[in-house]
Parts: sequence; C-alpha cells; structure tokens
Amino acid sequence: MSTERKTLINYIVEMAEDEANALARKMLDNGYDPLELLSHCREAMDIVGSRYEQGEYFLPELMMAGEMLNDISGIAKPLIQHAGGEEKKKSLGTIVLGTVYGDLHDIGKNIVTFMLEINGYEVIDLGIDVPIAEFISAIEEHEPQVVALSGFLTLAFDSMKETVEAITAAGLRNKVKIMIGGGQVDEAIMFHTGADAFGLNALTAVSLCKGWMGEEATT
Amino acid sequence: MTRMLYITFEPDNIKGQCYPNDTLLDVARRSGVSIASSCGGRGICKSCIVYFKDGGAPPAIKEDIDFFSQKKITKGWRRACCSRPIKDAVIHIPQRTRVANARISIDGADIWTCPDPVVKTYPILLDGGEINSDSLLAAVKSSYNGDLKHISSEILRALPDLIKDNWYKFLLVSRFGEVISILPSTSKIYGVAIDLGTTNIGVYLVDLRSGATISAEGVENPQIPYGGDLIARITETKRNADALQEMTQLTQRKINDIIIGLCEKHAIDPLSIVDIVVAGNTAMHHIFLGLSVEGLGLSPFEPCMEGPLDIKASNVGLTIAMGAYVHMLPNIAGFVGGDHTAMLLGLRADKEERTVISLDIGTNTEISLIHRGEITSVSCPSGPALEGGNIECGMRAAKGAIEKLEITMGEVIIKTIGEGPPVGICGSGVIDVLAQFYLSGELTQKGQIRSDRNLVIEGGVYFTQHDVRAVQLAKGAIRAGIEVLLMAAGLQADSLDKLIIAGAFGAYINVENAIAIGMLPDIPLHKIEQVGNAAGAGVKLALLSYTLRKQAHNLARDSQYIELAGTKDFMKSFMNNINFPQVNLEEKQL
Repeated sequence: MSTERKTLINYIVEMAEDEANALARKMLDNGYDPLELLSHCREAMDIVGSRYEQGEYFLPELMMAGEMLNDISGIAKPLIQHAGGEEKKKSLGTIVLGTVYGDLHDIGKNIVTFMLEINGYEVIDLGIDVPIAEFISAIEEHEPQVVALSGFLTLAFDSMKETVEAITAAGLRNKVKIMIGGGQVDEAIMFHTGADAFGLNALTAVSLCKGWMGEEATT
Repeated sequence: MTRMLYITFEPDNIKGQCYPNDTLLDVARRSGVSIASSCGGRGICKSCIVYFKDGGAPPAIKEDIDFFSQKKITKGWRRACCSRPIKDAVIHIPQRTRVANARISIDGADIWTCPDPVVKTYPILLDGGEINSDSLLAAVKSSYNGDLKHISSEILRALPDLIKDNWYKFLLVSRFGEVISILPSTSKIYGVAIDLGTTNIGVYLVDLRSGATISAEGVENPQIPYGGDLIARITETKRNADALQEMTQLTQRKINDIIIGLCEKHAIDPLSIVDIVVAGNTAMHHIFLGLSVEGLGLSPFEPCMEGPLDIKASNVGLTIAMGAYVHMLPNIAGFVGGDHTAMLLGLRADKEERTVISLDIGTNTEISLIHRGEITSVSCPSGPALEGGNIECGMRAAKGAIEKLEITMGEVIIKTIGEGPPVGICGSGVIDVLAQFYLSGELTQKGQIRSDRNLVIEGGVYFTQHDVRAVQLAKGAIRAGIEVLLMAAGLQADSLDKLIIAGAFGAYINVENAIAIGMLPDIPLHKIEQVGNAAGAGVKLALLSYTLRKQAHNLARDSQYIELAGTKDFMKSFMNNINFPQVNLEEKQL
C-alpha cells in the first residue's frame, strides 16, 4: 500500500522511532514483501541524508536513523531468507568492512553497512578496533571485491595505511578495491593510506561500490 | 641552484630563511613567529590564514582556491601551512592569526597551608681548611644526627669552591638526606610550581618557608605551532621524527627562561630555587619529559607512565639549584593527568564530603565526580572550539576577542577584551553566541541556523553553520561526560550539592548560557561555582607541603577512571546532548 509506504518513510525521516518500528512490524506481519520494505527504508535514508547535507539534521538524527534501520532490517532480513522457493536475491558483491585498529568509532560505519546492505551488497562487518590480521583473514575467507576501512581518529589514518600495506604484503591488493571513510578523510589521506577512494558519507560509499561492482536494476 | 629565499613577516618585521619546499608555517616556526595552527599544519582548518603582499604569492593550491573567494586569492590570501614561497616575500599576519598576547589568567594569590617542604635547610659553620665530601658530612654529623646521608654528584663537583665562596658559613639544603644545594647562610629558599597546560603555562615562584607567592607568570605553550590541540601534536610526533624532541626542548627552555626571568626581576639567585613541581595533562607530562605520546593517539590510549616521578632538574634543562629535583605529579589514567590531580588537590577533594562534580574545560575536558568520598574521573574529547579553535572567526582570549555577547530586544550587544573593536570570538563568547542566538530563535533546537545564512555579529565577525556544529559537539561531549559519571554512581543532576568549574577559561563563561545550550545540567545557579585556576593552586600546595604532595599521590592512586571512548553509554548520552535543551521560549520561536 502506498499510504503505508509513505507513512513508514515519514516516520523514519521524522525520527519517530517507536512508530516506525511498530508499523514495519505490522506491515511484515500482514505479508508485506520484506525486500520492498527495506527499499522504503533506503528511500527514507536518502531523505535523511539530504537533510543532513542541507544542515537541517546533524549527527543525532543520523545515529537515530541508523538505529531504526538496524531494528527494522533485523525484523525484515530473516523473512527474506524464509521467502520460500524464491531464491534469496543474489548479492551484487561482497564488502569486508570495519573500523581500523586503535579506533572505536562505529556510528558512521554502521550506517555505511546498512546502506550497502540495503543496496544489495553483502557486507562482512568486522566491527571496531579491528586488528590487521582479522582484515586479512576475512579477505581470504570471503574474497570481497571491496574492502572498506573506517576511522575517525587522526592516528587511525596510520592504522589504515598499515592495514593497506598488510593487504598488499599478503598478495591480496590487486584482488580488492579499498575505500576509506571517517570524520576527516580527504584526498591527501587517501594517498597516504594507499586506498583507492575515500568517502565522506554513506551515500558516497554506496556510489563507489556501484561504480566498482555494478548495481541492481532500479525498480 | 636554488637561491635561499627570505620571508619577512609583518607586523613585527621578522625575517626568516626559507629552504626549498618549506611552507610558510615551517619558516614561521623556525623564525619564532607566532602563527595559529589549530590543526597542526595539516591543512584542514582555517586558523593560519595570512596574505602575501605585493603580489608575492605562489599559485594557490586547489584547497585554497576552494577555501578563499577568488578576490581573496588574487589579493594574495593563503593558508600558511600549505603555501610554499617561490620568491622573497612579505607576509602580513592578520591579528586573528597571531597567537601572542593572549589573556592568560594567573592567580598569584597566596594559599594557606602550613609550609612543610620536602627540602630541609641546615645552617653550617666550619673552621676552614680543605673540605671534601666526607669531611663535610663528618663535620655536620654531630650537629644533625645523621640526617644528611650523601651529597648529590652535581654539588660534589663544585664542592670546595662553594664552601670557600661562602666563607665556610653556609646553608646546606637537603632533600631526604641528599644535599642538593649550598647557599649563603642568609639565603631564602624558593620553589617553583608549574601548571603546564596544552595552551598556557603558568609559573609560580614561591617562598618555601613562608608559603608566599613571590611572583607568577603566564605564557603561551611554545608547542602551539605544532598543533592547537593534543591530538594534532601527537599526530605531529608520528609524522615528523624530530617533533617530539623539538617540543620537549622548546618547553623546557621556555620554562627555564621564565624562571630565570622571574629570578632577575626579584633579584633572586636561581641556585636558591631548590624544588619544582610540575602538573600537566598526560600528554604535556610526557612531552615535557620527552616520553613518547604515540600511545595516547589510539585506543586503548595508554600513557608511558602514570605514577609520580622525581627527576633531576638538570635532566630536564632547568638551571636552578645544582642538585635539585623536579617532581611530576602523577597522572590518573588516559588523558587525565597530573593537572587534574592538582585540581583535585586544589579543591581539597580528599576532604570533600558532599556530592560534587568538578570540571576543567579545555580541548580535553576532565571531569570528576566526588560522591561519598570516592572520586571517579573521565576525560571528554571536547575539542578546541571552546577555546576559539576551528571556528571561522574564532580566536584566543586576546585583545579584540568578543568575550561576552547578549541579545536584547533583537539587538546584539558585545563586549570585547580590551574594549576595542571586535576581531574575533573567544571561547566564552562562543558559548554566548550559541545560547543567545538559540534563545532569540535564530537557531533551531537542532542547531540549524534558520535564515540559512551566517549569524552576523559585528564588525565582520560572524558565526557559520559549521561553527555551530563544532560547538554542539564540544558541549555535547562535556555534558555526556557529566551524565556518564552521574549514571555510573546512580545519581541524577539534582542530587549534586555543587558543580565546580575550575580552570582559567571556566572562570569567564556565563553559566546561564552554558546551561541554556545544555553544556551544563540545569541545576540552581547557587550550586555552581567558578573557582578559577584550582590546578595552579593545587601545584602550589604540592610544592609547599610534603604531606599534601603525598595526599595528591593518594588522590591519583585512589581515583577511579572511566574510559569514555567507544562506550555505548557515552555515545548515547553524547548524541542525546548535541541538540539544545527545550526552553519555554519554544512557542515564541515558532
């Protein structure tokens, strides 16, 4: 129902957490397609993102939106897998992602994870303060096309650099694209770390991945 | 071959040599010219703007083109950290970019304590003749019952001359049985208390017998060119292999210069300074000693050392009494260092029976909750915004800075330091700007500027949306630190008996405005006290009294510490406190 869709998007955009969760649950209980529901969330997130860029919203709204998305996808995702005979929608690609060692920031990273997942990518989120070796073994195990390194602290840029160097030393560098993100990254830091690209927000992360791995046909 | 370039810095007309590939900031640092660089010269802030006179500017890099208007680029405006001169040039440093002459509040008032210094003096009268270490100790043994155990090596080297020069009548100064100085028999003995802050250094010259503060002086921390805040400086030490050593030397030299200067001013022999106590946050403590600060830049944020330390003054470049020691007050944990220990001692937290929050606001804001005799501390990453850093028209608390602002009937009324025309905004003004523009309805509760334009203040000074955000983050972090401490103790803000704002900056803020933006909890104003430089008072106490010095050690050792970085409680509270609190004016705004 398009009114439900509008209402859900509106709840998320207006930060009505309880209402958004309740409505999402009700829609799914009534048999609403979980994939479709998640795509409404993506629409809502796009609006939140643009309000953020216009200065109307700030970090608390991003974090709140991230939480709502987490909750809703927590309900919706199991339903996708249970969606009977229809094969789970094929992932467009795999991304290994985490906040580099020494850094504990996770808000931005969580939003990136959500946005990538909702756009059809499989995300292996390694969490925060991720040791270099963990990135290496995750790359070996999951063979991602993209590695995303997050970090907010200034010295985390050195952790990123070391992580990229270790990926190179492990002979995995030419198998993956590496993007970095976090509070203050820029082109200079991208060169410093040896990454392929940088992004200042989750939307950039998505468009970088689309550029590297392609995107699903828009419905 | 490329010729050496010469750069002249106005308005002081200081000339500096520019090597190939030097940035203007490099040249300025080497030439002793003060240029603000909040980000440490990494090209991410706007604090180092200058202009090249007479068309001497090199082509602007892309970032500068994005940053300045085309008109300013043409006129020669650049950022010092990313401009590499290509010919001799004359640089004008605008007032806002200069960092000298800031208002540094030094409270020279005496504090009452019964002096009980770690050093003891022993008047000696000898018969003459050749004296060596053994005969000296033997000669004084009868009178002083073996109190004096050995003579410090620094004194030994000068021993015979010292005794002859004083005509065999002199004062031995000892510290726990070690002779550390030999002075004329009529000499007084002095100590120096040093409050080593990230931004400012306070130095107090104290008479160790009477407890009187002879003189006090405040100067800017000479590490500022390496970065406005701690993180910038820590990063600099990783980027530039010499930076730590340079900062250590600059700091030691600066402190020594001040001590020698104070001695000259008061006709005091530097050799009669027999004890020094230093308190600084963990990074300042480490840099002063030349210890690596890298561990402080990343989780788990571990310092090289926490406990108290006594080190020979001669080891840290201080030319006072030859055998004298410098005592470093202990750090508590993480960034919470000896300065906070000093503050707790200055507030006599060891005797506090009420429930009290005390905080010292700065780029890192240290907060302690004292409740039922237990002390718990946190350090909040509040950033430089509240010191005017990383704010487009921000500046240090110096002449021309807007320190107070009020909006009455739609009219903006400002007060500048020195009463002259406004040049920029300093920290206390920054809080006023947010509060007053919020209360007058020009900022939304989420911190958005309603008009979508900069907040115009006066005389070309304005506040951008980005500036508002920076202050929101700072005040949100401070408030979240307070909330985490209260939560951990199962308390609410209204169960506080007192909220004490220590520190020079804290003394100038308008508490009502700080409450209006939600930086402080909304508690009755009479419960909030601005006590000024409690850390400075604490260092003096630790200098004057061995008993209190040990008390400081106990305070540091017994304080609990909560690491905020990465904890859910802190993040949640931080996010909840970035917006402004509801005000009853809300209806009026809409």
